[in-house]
Amino acid sequence: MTRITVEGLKKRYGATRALDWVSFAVEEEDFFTLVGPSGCGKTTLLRTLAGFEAPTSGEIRFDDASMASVPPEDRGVGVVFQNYALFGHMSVAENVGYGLRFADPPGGVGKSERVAELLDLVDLAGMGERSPTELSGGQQQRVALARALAPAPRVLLLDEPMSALDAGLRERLRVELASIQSELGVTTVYVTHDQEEALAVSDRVAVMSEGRIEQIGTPREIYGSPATRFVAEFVGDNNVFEGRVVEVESGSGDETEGTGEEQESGDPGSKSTESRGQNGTRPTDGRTIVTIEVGEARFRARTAAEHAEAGERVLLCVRPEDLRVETGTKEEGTNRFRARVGSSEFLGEATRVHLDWEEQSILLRTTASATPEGTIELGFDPADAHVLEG
Amino acid sequence: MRGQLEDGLPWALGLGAAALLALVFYYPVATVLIEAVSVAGRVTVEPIVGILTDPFYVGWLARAITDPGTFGRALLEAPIATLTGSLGLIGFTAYQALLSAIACVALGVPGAYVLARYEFPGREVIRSLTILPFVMPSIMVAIGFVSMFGESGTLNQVLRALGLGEIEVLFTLPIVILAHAFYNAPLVTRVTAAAWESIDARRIESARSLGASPQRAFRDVVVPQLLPAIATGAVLAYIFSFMSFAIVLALGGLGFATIEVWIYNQVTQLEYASAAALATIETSISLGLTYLYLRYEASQEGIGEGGGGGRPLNRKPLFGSLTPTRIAVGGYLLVVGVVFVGPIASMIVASLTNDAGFTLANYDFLLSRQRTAYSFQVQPLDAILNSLLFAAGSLVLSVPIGTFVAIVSTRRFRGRKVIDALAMAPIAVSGVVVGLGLLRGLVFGVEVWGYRITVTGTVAIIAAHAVAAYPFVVRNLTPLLGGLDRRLTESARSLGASPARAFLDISLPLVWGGVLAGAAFAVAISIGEFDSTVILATGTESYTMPVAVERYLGRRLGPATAMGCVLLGVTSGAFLVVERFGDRGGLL
Repeated sequence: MTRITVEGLKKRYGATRALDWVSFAVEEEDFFTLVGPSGCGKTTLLRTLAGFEAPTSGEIRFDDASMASVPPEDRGVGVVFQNYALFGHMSVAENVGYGLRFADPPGGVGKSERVAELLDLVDLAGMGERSPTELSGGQQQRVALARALAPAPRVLLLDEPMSALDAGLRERLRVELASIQSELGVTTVYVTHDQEEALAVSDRVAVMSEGRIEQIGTPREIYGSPATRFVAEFVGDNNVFEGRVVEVESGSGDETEGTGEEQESGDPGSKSTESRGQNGTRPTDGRTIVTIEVGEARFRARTAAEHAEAGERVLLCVRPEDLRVETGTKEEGTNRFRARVGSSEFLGEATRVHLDWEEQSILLRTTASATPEGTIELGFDPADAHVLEG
Repeated sequence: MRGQLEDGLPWALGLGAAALLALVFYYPVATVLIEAVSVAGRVTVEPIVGILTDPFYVGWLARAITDPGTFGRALLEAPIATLTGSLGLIGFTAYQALLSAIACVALGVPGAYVLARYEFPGREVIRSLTILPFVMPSIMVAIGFVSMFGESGTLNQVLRALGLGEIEVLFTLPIVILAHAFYNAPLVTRVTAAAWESIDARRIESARSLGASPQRAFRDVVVPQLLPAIATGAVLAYIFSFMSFAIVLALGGLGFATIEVWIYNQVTQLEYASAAALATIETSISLGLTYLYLRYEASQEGIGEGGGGGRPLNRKPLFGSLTPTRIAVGGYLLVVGVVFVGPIASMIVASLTNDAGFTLANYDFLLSRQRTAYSFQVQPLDAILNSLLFAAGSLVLSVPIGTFVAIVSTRRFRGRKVIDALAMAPIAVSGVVVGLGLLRGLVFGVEVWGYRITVTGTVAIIAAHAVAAYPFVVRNLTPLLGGLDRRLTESARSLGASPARAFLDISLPLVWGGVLAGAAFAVAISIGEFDSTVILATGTESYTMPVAVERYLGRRLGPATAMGCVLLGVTSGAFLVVERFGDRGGLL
C-alpha cells in the first residue's frame, strides 16, 4: 500500500492563498481526514493530491515517486465527490466498470466479475443494470465508492462524500465506509467540514484553517489537546478564557488523574507542522500547576513547563462537559465561579446550558435531569483544563 | 493553470478551427476593409471620408459639416423638418432600425405579459414558438408579407369583401418595419417573459406588506426587473434591423434602401470600391453596437436574482369573465393574428391556390425541370438541390468548428475573452459583407507565392453558410459544456481516462443534445441564408432556394410561395429538433 508525503505545498489563485505551506505524511493504510470550515483549502488540497490542480510550489510523493508531472489518469487514485459525479448516461455497472476500461482488474479476475464483486462489497448486488438516476442518495454514494475502488487504486480520496445525505444515513454509511477501508487497507484521505465525522472515522486528523494545517493528531489528541485556539474552538464546544499566568508551582506528585492531557509546543512556528502528540513523545515529567488570572478571578491548571512563566498571556480552555455544577457549600475550592444561567438546549442525552460570567458566555454540558436556573456555582478540575499560549 | 490545460487536445482543435475561420472569415473580411482604404495601392481614407461627407449617405450631417452656417439657420427655423427631412442612406438605416425596435417593444412586451401572467392551453407551445423567427429565412418572411399585405394579398381580399376598398402597403416604410417586428418582436417577448417569470412573488409580497399598493409594487418591484430585459430585446432588435437585408430588399426596394441593400446594389453595379467603403463603415457601426450591447449585458448580470429559489407569480386564467384587461389582451391577440399568423397562413394558402381554386401546380413547378426555360432563368429544382448540397456542406464544417470553439471557450485561461470575441464576431458582421469579402478575396482569387488560388462559388457559399451557422452551434453547446460538472470528467480522469477519452466518453454524450440542436440550427441557417448567397450566386448556377424565391417574387408569386412553404417546412423541422434536444443537458 501507498504512503503519501506532502512537502511545502502552496497553491495560489491570483492573490488568494488556497494552500499556504502545507506539509504532512499519510502512512500506509491510514484513514486520514482533512477537516476545517468551508474555504480552508481542504478540497483544494484533495484536488491537488488527485492531480486536478497543479500546486504553485511544493511536492507530493506517493511512496517515493514524485507526482509533479503525473496526470490524474496515471496516479492510481480513486475519487468520490460530494455529488458522486456518476455518469448519468451509463448504467450502474458501466459506471463501476469504467475504470476497468483502462486497467485490468486486480487478481486476474474478469471485468464483469470485478464489477459484481464491488457491487457486492457496497451491498448493491443485482443493481448493475439500473440507471444511477433511479437510485437513492445513499445508493448513489455507494456506487461512487464502488467505482472508485474497482481498479484497486493506490489511494482513495473522498471529498465530503456524506454531506448530501441525511443525518441517520450519514452515520450508518460512515461506519460502513470505515469498515470497507480497513478491510481493503487502502490509504485514504477524507475531506469533511464536520468535525464530529472527522473524530468518528479517522486514524488521524488534520485540522485546517485559511490554507494552513493547524494541527495533526489522532482524534483523541485533537480533542483533548488542541494546539491552537482555532482547533480548541472548531473541534467540539469549548470555553476559552483569556488570562495571564500569575504563579507557578513546580510539579506536585500527588496529582493522580490520568486524563491523557498534555501540553503543546508553544512555538507559533510549529502550528502548521505536526503537533507533538502524534510523535508519541508525551511529556511525562515537568508538569506544573499554574495559577492564571482571568479578569478578577484566578484559576489553577495543570500544564507542561513551557508556559510556566509568570506574566505570560495564555488561553485557558475548559470543555463544557468538564465543568461541574457545584452544589452545597463545600469549603472554598479552587476553580469555582458563579455564573448566571441564560438559556438551555435539551439535546437528549445531555443538556447544553448557556451562562454569562464576567461578560463572557460560558457553555456547560450537564447530564443532570434538572435544568439549572438562576445563578449557579461552577467548578472544574485543574487537570481538566488545557492551557494554550495566548 | 496547467491543471486545466495540460491536455493539448483542445488547443489543437482550437487552432484548427482558428485556421479555418481565418481563411473563410477573417481574411475575406479583411480584404474588404483593405480595399476600402486603398486606392491604386495607396493607403487613403478618401473613399470613407467621401461617404461620410456625401449628403446622399449622411443627409443633413453633410450639410452641417460643409455649410454649418446655412444648416444652423435652417435648424433654428424648422428643427424637426431639417433633421428628419434628409437623413441620407446611413441616417435612414439607423432611423428605420429605431422605428423597428420601437415596434418590436410595442408588439413584444404585451406578449411577454400574456405569457408570463396568464395560463391557457398551448402557452408552453407558444412560448417555444417565440424562437421560431430566429431560424426562419428572412426571404420567407418577405413572401409571407407579400402574400398577406400585397396587392392581391389576404388583407386586401378581406377589405374588398367588407367593401372597404384596398390599401397599398408594399414598398412603404411601415411594411418594412412591420416585417422587422415580425422577426424581432418574439425575441423581445422571449427575454421579457423570462425576466417576468423570474420575479420572486415574495418580493412583491414584501413590498405590499410594507404598505405599497398593487400599482406601486408593480412600479417599484416589477418594472425595475423588466426594464433591463426589455432594453436587451430592444437593442438586439435594433442591431438586427440595422443589418437587415432581404426584408428591406424585397419589401422596401431601392426606394427604401438601407446600407446593406445599397452595398448589394453597388456590388451588382460592379462598384466594388464604394461597396467596400460602405461595408467598412457598416461593419464598424455593427461591431460597435454589438460591443456596446455585450458591455450592457455584462453589466446587467446578476440583477434581479433573488436570494436563491424564488416563487414565481401566480398565473391568471386567460379565459374567464370579461374584464378590461382581458378585452385588451383579446385585442392584442387579434393584432398578433394579423402580423404573425396572417403572413404564414397566407403564404401557405397562396401556394395551394390559383385563380381556379385549389391546385398543386406551384409545387409541381418546383419539381419539374423547366425544359422551356432559358439558361439564364432560375431552375427551381436546381435551387432545391443546391440548397441541400450547401446545407450538407455547411453542416460538416460548422458543427466541428462550433464544437471546438465551444470547448475552448469553456476553458479557463488568460486571453479567453479575446478568443471568445474573435470567434463570435461573425454574428456582428453582416452576411452581405462576408459575401462581398469571399467574392473579392477568394472567388476572384488570391496570389500566394506566385500562384493564384481561386475557389469556386460553391465552396465560397458553403464557407459563408458555415460562418453564419457555427456561432449557433457554439451558442447551443457552450452553456451545456460550461454547465457540465467538471467532477464528471475528473472522475473519468482519476479512473484512468486520458483527456480526449474523457471528452468522448463523458462530456460528448452528455452534451449530445446541444450538438444536435446546433446541427439543426446550422441546417436551418444554411437553407435560409440569403445575404451572402445572393452576392456569391450572382451570374452563377449556384443559386439556392432563397435566391430563387427573391427572383420569383416580383414576377411569379405562386412558385415563390410554394418554395416559401418548403423553406417553412425545413425551418419547422429544425425548430422541432432544437425544441426536443436544445435545452437538455447533463442527466444528473
